[in-house]
Amino acid sequence: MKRMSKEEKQKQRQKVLFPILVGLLSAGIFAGTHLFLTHGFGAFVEIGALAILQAGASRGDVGFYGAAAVFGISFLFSRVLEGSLVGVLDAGGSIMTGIGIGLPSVLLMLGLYEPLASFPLALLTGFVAGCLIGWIVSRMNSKGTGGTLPSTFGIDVIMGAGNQTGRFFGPLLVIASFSLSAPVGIGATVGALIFYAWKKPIEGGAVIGAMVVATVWPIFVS
Amino acid sequence: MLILIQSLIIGALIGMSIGIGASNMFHIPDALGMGSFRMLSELNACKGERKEHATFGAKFLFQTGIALLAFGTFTQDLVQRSLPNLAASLLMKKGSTVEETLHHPVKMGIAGGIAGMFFVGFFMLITRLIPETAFSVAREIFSIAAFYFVSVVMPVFFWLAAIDAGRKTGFYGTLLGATSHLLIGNAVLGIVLGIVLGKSVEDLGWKKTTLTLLVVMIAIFVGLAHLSQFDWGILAEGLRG
Repeated sequence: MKRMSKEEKQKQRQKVLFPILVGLLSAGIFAGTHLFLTHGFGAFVEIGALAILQAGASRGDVGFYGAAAVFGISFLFSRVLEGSLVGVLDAGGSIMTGIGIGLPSVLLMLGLYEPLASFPLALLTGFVAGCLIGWIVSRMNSKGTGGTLPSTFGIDVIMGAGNQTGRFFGPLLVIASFSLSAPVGIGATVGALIFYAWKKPIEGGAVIGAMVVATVWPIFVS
Repeated sequence: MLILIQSLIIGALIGMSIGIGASNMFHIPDALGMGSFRMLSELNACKGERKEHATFGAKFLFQTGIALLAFGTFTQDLVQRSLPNLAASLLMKKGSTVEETLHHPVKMGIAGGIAGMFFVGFFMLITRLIPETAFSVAREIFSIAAFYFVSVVMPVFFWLAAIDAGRKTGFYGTLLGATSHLLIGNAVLGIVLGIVLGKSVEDLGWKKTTLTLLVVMIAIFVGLAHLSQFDWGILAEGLRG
């Protein structure tokens, strides 16, 4: 009987602690997106997902923000359902893509720039959103309502497509680097080839190759 | 300098929470874990050996550095692979058991926080060192590729996924995708909503849930058209001839 109550106590404590835990991770990741948008580096998301936000941010285009928002939010939605079922919240899909891409794009789409323009406010926004997600997951987990949905709502199809989009990036980056200048493109090609032979993702190699050309011969860029 | 302090804060937050989340995964169902099953199996594969954890974690640091230099983002390689494994290796000493290191949430939280601060701060400093031209070229290429990606590749890819997923998802994906392209200039949002609507119509038929979904989607479209300042006048003029 006494043991039982100790376990109950542990569960109660978890109910409070888990939302805070998710909140802390979300605060860091949302603030990372703030750094990326203000300084150009420091986000905590996958490259394909970041590209959608980048396309929106560099043009201020509602359509692109819409794409990023729906991409991030569908990942978040499915991971919250999955997390409440299995007891492990996938940090990559739910927080990194959902909070790092989905939430910022919704805010930017609505014209709310303030949470992303200041570091403390970004931390706070991420923390509140994360706490909310953690609370939902822990509540659904203790009630066991996660698996009672009448339909998949096509989330499996969206996730399947979403998980593959990152693959398109290597070729696109090489093509894009040729539009700066031919030498930069050749640098990107060489970089991609080296990384491919080395069995590393060619995306990184393409950009590093272009960066090397731009550093050694800056004349080819301007 | 300010960026360094900010990245230390971010690193501490992320490292700490992923450390606690990782060790919580060993206490399911008493606790809710945060991480992923791939991460759990990778942690288990190291069998609580300090050296294994350290080499596995360090293996992904190179890729992390490349992704940050080239694209400005830390990927899952740092958050879900390097950090938890390096945090575990920080804790382990000769003769220590996994129970008092990897499975201990408080210790993992502290070690993760330290590892996060160190690596995020370190990589951010390195990124500051790259020359301005190289940095701007990298961002420019990324922007161009991102534009191709979002304006052409992604809509086509999601559209085909909708068509392949069944007749209803294909129908509503096409309908809403094209509508979304007309109203806000990009089809992805509409295709995704179309897949959701099509799949629920297929599974449930036209019931209260599906009708509510439809109403919500129409509201979303009207709101978005308003946000992107869609010119309804042109459409009306065209219809009048």
